[in-house]
Amino acid sequence: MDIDRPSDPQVSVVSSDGTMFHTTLKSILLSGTIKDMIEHIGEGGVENMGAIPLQNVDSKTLEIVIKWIEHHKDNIQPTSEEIKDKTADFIDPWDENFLEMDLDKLYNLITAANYLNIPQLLWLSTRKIAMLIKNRTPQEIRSLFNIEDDWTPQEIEAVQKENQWCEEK
Amino acid sequence: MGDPFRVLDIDIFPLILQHFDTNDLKKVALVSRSWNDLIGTSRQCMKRVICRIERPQLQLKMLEESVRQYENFKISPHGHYQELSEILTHFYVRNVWINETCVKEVDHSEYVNLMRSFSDTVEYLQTGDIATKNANRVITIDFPKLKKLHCSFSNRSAFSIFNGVNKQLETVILSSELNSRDEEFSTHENIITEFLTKNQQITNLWLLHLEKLFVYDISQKVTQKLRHITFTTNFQNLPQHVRENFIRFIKAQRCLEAINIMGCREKSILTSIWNNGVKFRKLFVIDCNYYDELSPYDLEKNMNIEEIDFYLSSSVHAYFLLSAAPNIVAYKIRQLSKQLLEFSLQLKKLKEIKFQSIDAEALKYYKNLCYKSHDKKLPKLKELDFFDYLNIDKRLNG
Repeated sequence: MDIDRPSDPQVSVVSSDGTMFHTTLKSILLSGTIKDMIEHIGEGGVENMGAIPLQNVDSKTLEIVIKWIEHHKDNIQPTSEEIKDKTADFIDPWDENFLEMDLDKLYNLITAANYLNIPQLLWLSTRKIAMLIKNRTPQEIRSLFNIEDDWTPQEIEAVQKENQWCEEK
Repeated sequence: MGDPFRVLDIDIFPLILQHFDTNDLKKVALVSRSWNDLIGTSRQCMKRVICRIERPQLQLKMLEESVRQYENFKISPHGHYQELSEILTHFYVRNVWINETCVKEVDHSEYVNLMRSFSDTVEYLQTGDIATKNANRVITIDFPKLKKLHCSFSNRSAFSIFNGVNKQLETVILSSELNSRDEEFSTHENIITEFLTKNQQITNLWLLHLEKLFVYDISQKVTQKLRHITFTTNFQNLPQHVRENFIRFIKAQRCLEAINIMGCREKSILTSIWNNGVKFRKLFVIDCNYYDELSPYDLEKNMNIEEIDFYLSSSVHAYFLLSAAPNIVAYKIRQLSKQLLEFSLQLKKLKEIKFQSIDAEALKYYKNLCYKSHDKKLPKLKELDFFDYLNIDKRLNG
C-alpha cells in the first residue's frame, strides 16, 4: 500500500449553483448515486477525478447533506431494502437535533437524499414529516402546510362516518 | 412552505405514509380532499386498514361512493348477500372475514355470488358458520390466489364451493360446529374427503372437532403431503376404529414435520402418535388434561422428536414426554420448575428452553450453574409470551 496515500482521500463536489465543497471519500460513499459513479471510474480514478457535479442539489442543501454524511461516515448504513420495513426503534439525538429546520429546507433535503440515494437520511427526513403530522390535529396540519380546507360539511361528515368502520389490521 | 404531497416527488410519498398507523390515517384523511384521495388510493395505507361492515343496509351506499380502495373486509352480512356481492366486485379484495353469527340458512345462489365477487383476488378467507339452502346443483368456485382458508363446516352445499381449483392454497382450518349434521359424514365420499383429495397442495391442515371424518379410512385417498397437522377433539372415548383411521391418515403423510394436539383429553391420541413410528420432529401439546392420567409406561422412546411445545400440561406430563424423547433439542413450557430444569440438564442434545414464567428457585439454580461452569454447554433459557404465541389469528396471519 502506498504510504503517502491518505486512507480517506479528499473528494470535491459542486452544487447546481456552482459552489464547490470538499469532503472525504468515506463520507461521500454514503451516497449510493455517487458510489455508483466512482465504481464506474474504477481503481485509482478517485485522485485524478475532478470535482463531481451535482446538477440537482443547490449549495444550501448540499452543505446540510455534507454535514450529515460526515457525521455518519463511520456508521454502518442500512440498504434501501432494509429501510422499507424499518420501525423507529431508536433515533440518535444528534439526528433529531439535525432535522430541526424549516420546511423548505427539509423538503430540499428529502429531494436531495432521494436523488443522492442515501437511504438512512431519506428515512429520517421523511419520518420527520410524518412526525410533524402525527402530533397535530387536522386544522393544525392545514395551517402548518398552508392547505385549504376544501371540504363541505356533508363531505367531512361522510369521511368521519367512514372512519368509524375502519380498524387496524 | 407548502403541502408536502404537492412539493415532493410522488415516489417519496410511501416513505412518509409508512410511519402512520390506522388512527393516524383516519386523521390525515380529514385534512383535505386531496389528502383523503391520497390515503384512500395508497396501497401502503389501505393494506393495513380493515373495513368493517356491520350494518350493510346503512354502509353499502357510502361504500359505493368512497374513494378508499379497501383490501380487507370484516363482514356481517345480515342477509344482504346480493348487495354485498355487487359492491365487493369493485374492490381488489385480499382478506375477508365473514361473521355470520345467526345460524340461519342462506340462499345458496346468493352465497355463491358473494364468494364469486372476490374469488379472483382473495388471499385469506374466513367464513362463519354458514349453511345454505336451495342448492339445485353443485357449484364450485376457483380461488386462484387463496393461501389460507378458515372455514366452519356447516353443510355440504356451503362447503362444496371450495372444491374448485385452489392452486395457492396452503393452510386450511376446518372446524365443525356441534350442530353440523352427522348424515353429512355418513358416506365414504363425504365432501371434506373430496376436498382433501383434490387439494394435494395443502401443507398445513387444522381439523377442529372433525373426528367424524375418520369414521372411514381415508388415508390412501386424501393428500399425503401435509407438513403440519393440528387436531382437536372433545371426545372422551373416541371409537377405536376412528382413532386407528386417524393414525393411518397421519402415518400416510410423507413430509410431516409437526403435529399439534390441542385440547385432546383422550390420551390414546397422544400415545398412538408417539408410539406408532409416525415420523415428525415437532410436537405441540396444548391444554391436554387427560381423563386417564398419563403414566411413564404409556410412552416408548421416540428418537424423531426434536421439539415439544407444552402448554397447560402439568410438569409431570412434561417430565414423562421428555424422558421418552432422548433427541429433544428445544422445548417450550408455561412454568419452569427447578425439578424439571434439573432433569432437563441430563438431556444431552437440549439447547433451549422457552418459558412464560420460571420458579425463583429454578432461576437461582441455573444462574449458580452458569457461574460455576462457564465452559460446560448449558441449554439457553428464554422468556416467551405464551398468550401472544397462542393467538391463533396471529399465528395464521404471520
